[in-house]
Amino acid sequence: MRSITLGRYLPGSSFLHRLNPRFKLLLLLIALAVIFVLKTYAGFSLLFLLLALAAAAVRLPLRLLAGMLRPIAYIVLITAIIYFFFTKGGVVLLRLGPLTVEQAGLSAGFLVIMRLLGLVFMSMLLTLTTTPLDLAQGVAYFLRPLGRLGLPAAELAMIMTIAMRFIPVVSEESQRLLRAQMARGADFGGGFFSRARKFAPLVVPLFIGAFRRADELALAMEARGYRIGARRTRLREEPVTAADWGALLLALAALAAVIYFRL
Amino acid sequence: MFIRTEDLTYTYFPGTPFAVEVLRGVNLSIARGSFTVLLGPSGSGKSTLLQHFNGLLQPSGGRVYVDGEPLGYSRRELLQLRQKVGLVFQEPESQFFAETLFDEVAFAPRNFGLSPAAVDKRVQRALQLVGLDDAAFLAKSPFRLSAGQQRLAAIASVLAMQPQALILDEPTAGLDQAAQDRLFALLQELNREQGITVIVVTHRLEQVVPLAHHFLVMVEGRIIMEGSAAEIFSRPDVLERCGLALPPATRLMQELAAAGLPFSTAIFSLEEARAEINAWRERRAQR
Repeated sequence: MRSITLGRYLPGSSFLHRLNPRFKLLLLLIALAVIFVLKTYAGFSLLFLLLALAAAAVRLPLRLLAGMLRPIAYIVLITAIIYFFFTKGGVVLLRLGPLTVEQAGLSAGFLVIMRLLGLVFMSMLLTLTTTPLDLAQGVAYFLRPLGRLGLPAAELAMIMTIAMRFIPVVSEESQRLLRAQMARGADFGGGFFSRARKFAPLVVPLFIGAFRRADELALAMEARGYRIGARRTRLREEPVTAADWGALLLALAALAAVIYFRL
Repeated sequence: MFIRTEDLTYTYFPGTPFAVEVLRGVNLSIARGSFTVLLGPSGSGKSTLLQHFNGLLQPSGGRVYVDGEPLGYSRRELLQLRQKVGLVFQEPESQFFAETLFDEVAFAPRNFGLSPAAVDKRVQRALQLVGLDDAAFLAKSPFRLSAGQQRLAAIASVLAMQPQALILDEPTAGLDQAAQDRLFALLQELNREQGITVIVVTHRLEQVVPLAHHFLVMVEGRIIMEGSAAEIFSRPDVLERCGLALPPATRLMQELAAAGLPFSTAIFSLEEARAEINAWRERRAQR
């Protein structure tokens, strides 16, 4: 695996790494609310300044940041262009035949770019500083009340945890298979259709491996007494500290400030 | 020299916080037609090294030469190289995807664009070499073979490219004794009778010593020792660092020699040890 993918964890011990995963999820939620309330350039400048500080605290290498933003660059660009041309109002800034870019379009486009970038940046900070397992457990915590409505919250959490746990395993396995079939002369280049046709030598063994692994995991879990509906505790409980509450209060204050000062 | 490397280095995830330097300047030469064993503890970079020999990995630094030529990495050059140097991965049967053994073994020759008649011939030949040429096997699903047969079928699927060199990464892992013996016999035949250059990573010293010409010992991304079996086994301390134990017969003879008995220590199997001890007893009885 050569590329650095979205959703990757960056080991470290920064302030963000040490926050409780549950609180980090809440913080992300509040931050998303902030992003959708924000509408001034000053407000976004402030937000990106804070995000840059956070990135520096996490010691996020610039190369990694660029690599993670690349896949969404096209989405951002296309969305912005649509806004530039199709939101009307104010002074006409540019005329390209029948198409015009007007002042309202420009600012709407900029807002969209800022929002999308902010969104991705913040989600990235969360996944970079939280292990997938912790993340799944955090989500499971908020699902727990739904257990009273008959939702199998604990089992959903287990499914999520297992899925997260096996993403790197399956990704490594697919790389290995790719190379093994290439060693037998398979050529995975070419256009989309010729590539799709060549996928059987990759997909079939990948599925067989996944089913075999699932069988083994099910056996191992049963051998260690896993039962649906049993009450379980975690080996490693994430403590809730004063810093967690402090961060939450700060975030809420920031949201209130953004609303109050119409930033 | 058939395969040669010069200061070969390889780093995973270069330039990121996840960078790991796996190969740190590997220099080696493997003669055409030789049988080479690559030893080393897990994580020493053996599998990474092997994948440079057929261009699956491109060196971060240094050079790889096959058949005297420095490797090129264009699509066409790679396709040719892979035909020349066959690589059998660990647990190669996990790559199976075809519905019949025939199609599985025909995968590689078809990828190289051979005619159906030529593919047919190659498959027959490859299956004959590994001893799965019974007509009943051809239409069988490769998944229905026994573990040992699956391993042989996977090797046949690489042999169908008619490579000049065959590289195998722990080919006996997970096989029972009989299947292991069968596999080493096959490697011997491929090397001695077909003239194929064999490079193998294995921990089965006792079984591989009678076949091998050349040993390479790899630790932490470097070749730290090379030579014949006798040369390698004269340094049990280095082998121990690799998590390898001497063959029991060699250890026995080394300890007897250390105790002052006139035994050769270049002995790798129980049969040789027995012969050596019997010869010594006869000499003593005559005196």
